[in-house]
Amino acid sequence: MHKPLPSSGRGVRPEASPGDFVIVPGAAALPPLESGSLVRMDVPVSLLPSLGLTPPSTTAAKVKADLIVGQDGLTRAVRLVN
Amino acid sequence: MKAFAITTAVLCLAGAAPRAQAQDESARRAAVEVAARVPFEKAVKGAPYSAETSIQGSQTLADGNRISHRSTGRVYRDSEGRTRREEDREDGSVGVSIVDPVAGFSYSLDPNSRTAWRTTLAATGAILGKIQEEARTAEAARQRREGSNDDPSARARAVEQEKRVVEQEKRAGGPVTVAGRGGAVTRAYAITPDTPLEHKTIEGVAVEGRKTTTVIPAGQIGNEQPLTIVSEEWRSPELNILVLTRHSDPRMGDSSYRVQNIIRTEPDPSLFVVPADYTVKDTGIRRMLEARQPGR
Repeated sequence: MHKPLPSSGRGVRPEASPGDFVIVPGAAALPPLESGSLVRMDVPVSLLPSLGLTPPSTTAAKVKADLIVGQDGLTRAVRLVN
Repeated sequence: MKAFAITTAVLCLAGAAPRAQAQDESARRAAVEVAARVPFEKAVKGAPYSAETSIQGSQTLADGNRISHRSTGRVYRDSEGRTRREEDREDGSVGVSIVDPVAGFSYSLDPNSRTAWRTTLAATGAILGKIQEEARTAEAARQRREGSNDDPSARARAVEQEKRVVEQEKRAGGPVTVAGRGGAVTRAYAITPDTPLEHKTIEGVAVEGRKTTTVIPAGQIGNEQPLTIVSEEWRSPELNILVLTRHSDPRMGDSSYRVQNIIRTEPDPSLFVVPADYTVKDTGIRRMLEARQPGR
């Protein structure tokens, strides 16, 4: 069995809200999503248009994004973090 | 962890960014995973199995160069629907995720820190629901274009019309105008309705297949010639899993996902338990990031 949870970890509100994700271009033609992962990454701003996102007004070269990656390693959806 | 993470990141973005490939190649390689991942899985009870998984992809660039990748892993599911996935990393270690619908949590194991990052399935379920809803919306729109599935004759007419339009578009090299209920409409994408494939056996299990072809007419996205995207999937109704999928898109290259060496017995229960020497941290993805920052 695993160790008991730290008390500070209880009741944490999920940070990943479902409302912000957008389907990446071409994902509708991909095989069904039956398993996968949510992955947080530093993504170059220049890549955002190809993901279907409008680049934010920032001077940063990279932004944090959450990607939904399917069982086949292909990305289905993305959202910007802050 | 990092070597695997970067590899995965590049793989993810390669699939996510079909356009402007050449100029985005360096950007893809610059993308870096910055946090542990949160796994999710469709819960299926009463169909235990163990198997190996493999993902393969290849893409030929404009200069003739070719990028190929392959990753392997294993998947285990018990009768209660608990699932464990293992991914072989480039550095020789193994990434492990466990999804436990009975307890209502998923775990991503970090072998370096001996930490099991725990997430409620309610959190990931909401996200997955959103994605699936979007997919259903797209499917419904596609069916509306094809005609009603409830009326076989209407569907057959739609299939024939679709074939004719695809041929017209191929000859015309661009979108054509077809008669619709509301008057003449210009088609955007020509999607050939799902074609059921002959039932067969793969890896010892009976599977049902279907194939979908999408044609993006010339000029639709700045393309000089029509683009043909083909997706093929083979599903086991008994296990309720995809056994084989293939996807071919000129913008993204070819990719496949395969489940092989399927064993249909109950896996070892210990596979679905976080190891005793791991510390479970019940955090959201933001707190995972904070925990990895220096000085915390």
